[in-house]
Amino acid sequence: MSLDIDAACGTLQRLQEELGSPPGTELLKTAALALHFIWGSGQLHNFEDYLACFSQAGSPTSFDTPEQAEASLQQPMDPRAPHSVAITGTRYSVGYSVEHGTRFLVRIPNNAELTTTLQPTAPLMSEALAALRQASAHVHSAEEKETVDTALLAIHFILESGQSLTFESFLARLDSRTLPLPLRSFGTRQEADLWLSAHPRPPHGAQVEIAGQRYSVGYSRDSGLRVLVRLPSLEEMDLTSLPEDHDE
Amino acid sequence: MEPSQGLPQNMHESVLVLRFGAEGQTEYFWQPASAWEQELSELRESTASDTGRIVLASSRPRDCDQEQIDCHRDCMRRKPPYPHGARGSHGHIKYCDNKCLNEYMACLKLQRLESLSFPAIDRAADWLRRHQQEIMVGTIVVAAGVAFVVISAGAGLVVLAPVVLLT
Repeated sequence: MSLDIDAACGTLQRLQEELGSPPGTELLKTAALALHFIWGSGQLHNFEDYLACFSQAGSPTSFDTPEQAEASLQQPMDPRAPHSVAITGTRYSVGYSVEHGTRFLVRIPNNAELTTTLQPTAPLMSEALAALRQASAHVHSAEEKETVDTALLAIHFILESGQSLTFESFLARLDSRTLPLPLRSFGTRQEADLWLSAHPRPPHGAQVEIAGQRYSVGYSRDSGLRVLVRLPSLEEMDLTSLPEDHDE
Repeated sequence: MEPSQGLPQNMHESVLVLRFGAEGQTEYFWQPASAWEQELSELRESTASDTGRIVLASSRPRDCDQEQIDCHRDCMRRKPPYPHGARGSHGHIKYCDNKCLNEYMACLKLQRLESLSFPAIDRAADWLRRHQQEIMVGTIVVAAGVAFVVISAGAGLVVLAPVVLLT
């Protein structure tokens, strides 16, 4: 499956307007940004596989202990297909670390958790979850319902994969005038190409730096195509500096 | 090389069937289009409702790298849509990085499709044998100067219809 993030954000924007809230407290905006955070940090395919666990009827490979499940992650797997395991009844989806492609497990919450949990350790996230549950009463179509569900699972995915702090620092930097930090820095193109070809599932959407220049990592799981595309400099964009927001 | 090489007289009423053996052997033959009417009408219907399915390749190759630079230039000049931050902000840059990477990948994909052009049927047959996994219904292949569309792709068998049969 693939995710149309722009369409999803449009729906969340409309629902936010319908719910109404004072400026600065738009909790559905946090949910919309969660989708963008996942995309732009190279976690898109991990998230797609996580989502697949909710729609797949098939039963995952079961293990009695976490050690057995961890050992199974060392076995060869096809990175184009989603994988999941179960450890004593709890389901996990298999993700690939963005940096080296090491496989890791992301816990799949059960139905009760999806409808009731509050995460006291992450107030921002639990507020966003509450707002999404509230928003699901305002959806007009099956597509809108799916968008709200996907955004809800995006928040859970960030929590379960231990990225809450990274997400919060992304939110804090959002309006600053700083360039995104690269995932990795390489001295030469050759080193970067070696990394890209050795990665079992390159983090599509992440940025790396090669000899001081910014590059995007592109990976198509359908065709297996892997690319490093250099991002244009300000001069190439005919800009002398980053644009200012003076037209509002 | 003759441009009409391997093409039958009644080509506009025929489809090209390619059969691939397990040992790499390839045979191809023409069949009356009427035998494949179901596949043809399914594809006609799907292209009528979803114009994005069949992509007719333009003759001019696209420059994906230049398009990527243009994409960033345009994107950075506009205020990003909800939920991104102000113009020139971190959120704006991330938005454009994502958007233009998507467009770049889509451009590369189309460029690959545009390269599916062969001087003769047997060259096309050989390429299709080696890329059976990637071939999808709706893929355009140009062979011997004629544009074909894949109407059926299964294990060891690919069926191509001249594009005119779909119009």
